[in-house]
Amino acid sequence: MRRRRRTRLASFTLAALVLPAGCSRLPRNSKTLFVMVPKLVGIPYFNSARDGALEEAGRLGLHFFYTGPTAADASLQVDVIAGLLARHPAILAVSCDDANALAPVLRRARRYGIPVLTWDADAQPDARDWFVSQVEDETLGRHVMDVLADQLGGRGQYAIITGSLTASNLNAWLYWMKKEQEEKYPEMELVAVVPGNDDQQQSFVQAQSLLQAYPSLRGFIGNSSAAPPAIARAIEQAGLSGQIAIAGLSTPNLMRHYIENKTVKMITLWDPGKLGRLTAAVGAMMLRQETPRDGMDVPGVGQIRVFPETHKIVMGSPLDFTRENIGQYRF
Amino acid sequence: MKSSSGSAWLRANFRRHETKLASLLLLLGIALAVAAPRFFSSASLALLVRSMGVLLIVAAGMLNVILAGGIDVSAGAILAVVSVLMVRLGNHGLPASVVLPLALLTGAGLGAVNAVLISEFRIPPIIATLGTAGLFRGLLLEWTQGEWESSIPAWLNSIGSPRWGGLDASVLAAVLVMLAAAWILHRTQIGRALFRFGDSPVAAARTGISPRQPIYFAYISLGALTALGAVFYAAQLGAVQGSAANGYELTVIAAVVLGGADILGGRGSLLGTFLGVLLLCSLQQALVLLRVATFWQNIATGAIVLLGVILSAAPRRQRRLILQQSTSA
Amino acid sequence: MKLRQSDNLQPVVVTLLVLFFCVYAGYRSGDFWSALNWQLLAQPLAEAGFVSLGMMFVIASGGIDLSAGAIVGVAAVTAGVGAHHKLPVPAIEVAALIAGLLCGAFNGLLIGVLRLSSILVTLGSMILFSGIALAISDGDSFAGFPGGLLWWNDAAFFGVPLGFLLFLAIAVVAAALLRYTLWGHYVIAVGSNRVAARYSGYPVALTLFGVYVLQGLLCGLTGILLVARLASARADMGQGLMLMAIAAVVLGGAPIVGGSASVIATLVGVSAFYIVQNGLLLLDVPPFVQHALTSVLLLVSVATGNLLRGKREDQR
Repeated sequence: MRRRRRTRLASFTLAALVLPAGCSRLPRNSKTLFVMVPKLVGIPYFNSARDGALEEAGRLGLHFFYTGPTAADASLQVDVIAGLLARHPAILAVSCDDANALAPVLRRARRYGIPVLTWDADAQPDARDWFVSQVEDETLGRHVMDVLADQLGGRGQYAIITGSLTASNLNAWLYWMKKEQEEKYPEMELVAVVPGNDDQQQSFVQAQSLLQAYPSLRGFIGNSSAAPPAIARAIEQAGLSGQIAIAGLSTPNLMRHYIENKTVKMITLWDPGKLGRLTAAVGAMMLRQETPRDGMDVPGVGQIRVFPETHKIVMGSPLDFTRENIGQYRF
Repeated sequence: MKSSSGSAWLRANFRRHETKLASLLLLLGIALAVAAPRFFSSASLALLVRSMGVLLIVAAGMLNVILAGGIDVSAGAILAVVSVLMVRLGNHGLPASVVLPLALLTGAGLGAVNAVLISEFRIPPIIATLGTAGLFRGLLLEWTQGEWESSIPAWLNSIGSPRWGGLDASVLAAVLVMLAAAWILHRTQIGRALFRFGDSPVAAARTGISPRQPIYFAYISLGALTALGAVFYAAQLGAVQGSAANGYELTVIAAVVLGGADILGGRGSLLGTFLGVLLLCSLQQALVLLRVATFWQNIATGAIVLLGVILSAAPRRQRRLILQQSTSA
Repeated sequence: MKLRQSDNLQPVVVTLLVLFFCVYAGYRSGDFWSALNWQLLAQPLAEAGFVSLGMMFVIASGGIDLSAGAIVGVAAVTAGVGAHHKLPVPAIEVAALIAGLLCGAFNGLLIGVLRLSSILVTLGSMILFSGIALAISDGDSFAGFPGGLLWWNDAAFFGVPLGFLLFLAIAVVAAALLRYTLWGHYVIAVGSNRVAARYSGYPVALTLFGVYVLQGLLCGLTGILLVARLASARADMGQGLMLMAIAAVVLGGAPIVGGSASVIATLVGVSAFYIVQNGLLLLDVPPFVQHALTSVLLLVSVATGNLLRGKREDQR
């Protein structure tokens, strides 16, 4: 019995050492490898960004590789990036779960000579070469608050359901939303900021709970793509469609039903596909040793703004989706 | 009648836990009547009942597994798989009469995978279900590629819509499930086998109960009930995503255990499970109404679970730990 | 109470599977065997390793600790608070360790002294500790850690990261504890048969208390290393580590009911997971498939281990 076990193990080991000889090597493509890492894989927003980047990378002759953590967890994301460093990509583009946590590994990448781009969510400025941002934080935050305030007539209680409480970019937008309200709409009152963690169920439960806890609540802001549809659902189910204002950030596909049935008047975002395209374009520029110029026109994206002092690129302005125009968008 | 091994002492001990739980609930109710009377408004109570539906259905299944001395941490993954599958098929035009049975079958099938791993391959339940959770979830997310379904078929939507004073079909389903489960557990041979096996697999084997029966029944029923829960989960939310219900199984386990089920198996009741669910959901709702910050909610929930564990502490017996599923002959 | 679990071929099976995988990955991806790759792998491996060693003791004593990840989070945010108040580096480190220790002591009290079920207590304490960590950090992340703390991540001897060396050192200490101390003997005895241990006059309560305190301490250490590596601290930092640690200990062949432990087997388990994950990443395997595959690895290894062991009935 023991001998049989030993033979089995021995033959297994032998096979293990011999078999791989037949396998082919993976192409290395180091010189043209463009690696894109989202905050997490598996949500539509990042899928759209990926698709745009893939298309543009192909057009520019880059090899595109997309991977990321399976949850919006900074330590997971750092592990993924650390693992990728060994492949020595030509460009690394990351949407950071946490500006501070990602900084050390990105700095390391730069030390190894890998150009680092951040997109969608920044890291600490000295940890990356350029930050490709979709919209200026201040512009976005203020605009979303204006949308809400417009529907509320500048007064009333409102609550914010955000994504993860530790997401730096979400918190930056929150900051400007609150600032806009404090400066321009002093009669509005923020009653709560709660996390929805990019999960529709959690956001849904939070919205329902807030409606219960604050009977005079008149408006919601959903600060991350999962929140607005869940909030709209909660309001719809409570029979309050049209009585409670909803503003925030989400994709047309997720909000289509609620915009069409008038539960939501307007939702804001930008085109993540374009952002992906821009990121790939900037990556290619860096490979060619070109510097992005303010006001330059990027094919498929439009005119961009470039801030050389902070190494920041801004794609454009926020895009509002309403009943009139939502039919044009398919993401 | 509600006993497991049949000794009168057990029965008395067992009843005591439910009374303790009921008194805890009473205390909570009184505190709320004073601090947040809005809790008892019809809208709030309706919301509470609706929030309990899915949890009750899945908890009934988890009770079976825990009674048999096992545990299942893949319930959340199963729920996600079934809800995505169901919504996708429904959106492709398949009618409810096809999709719903298919959903239940899928849940049962996934539960069967767990049962096979535990029964035939002798993998300890916690490891087996940990593995299947990762497997199911990974494959599901790979299949959906992260795309969310943001609309559900009309028939599904109507299942989840509030009708009778704010309640929806999930309440009805939960009641039916509880009644059926109670009947199965206390009036049929399979239920008795479950109790006996969970209490002592060795003794059960010696009285002729093959380990396969309780194990397969427990995990398959959990799978099927999770699938049923998924129906209402998706119906209420109106959308599904592959990462749904992450960690949901821990909430379910907490509810069942709060309800007095012994984690080592052999003891538990549906009434207790119901009270456990009620306690957890009421606590959640109460904390929200009291406008307590999110992290304090966590602390309070954790404290309640610990309190429940302390209250239901079973006297130490010479028993196998929950983590090993022995299939002796 | 041996360093090698007799009649248990599971760590061998796992080692072989991993070796096979390494050879395959090495062929297919030119970067797998690069020094850089292994250097970068070593640090997170060490972090998971500490928690796994603690979990090894817990499982050996017949219990399980679901709150490990939450304890890491508490320790991390405690370090964050220390940094925020500009405390000297040793004070920050000690504070984090004490935070972990206190959490462990809490578990140890309920499980060891009050004799409550470990799975339930740690389920509750997991929720409780994560709430505490959130409360301490106010849901935000800390930054601005002094260089003295970050040094833990940057320092390396002959290319081997300091954290990894520390891990090896602690592993040796753990093995010594297990094999050469009375306490180690008690841990195994309690895990094998608690009632018999009690009748033999072993200090069961104290033993268990010690197990969870040790686990808390090790989680605290992990918290410090994580903070050093990420130069930031968040409440949810240790999230995935709990499942990883349990899986690693089991992968190494330890019976989940307790009564047996082996540091080498635990090392095999932890390394296996990280090496396989790293390899899959370099092989361009999509992230979700990676997740599914590592789960399959776990299931296959345990099943194979059972098969080879010819699992005895009533195995303890």
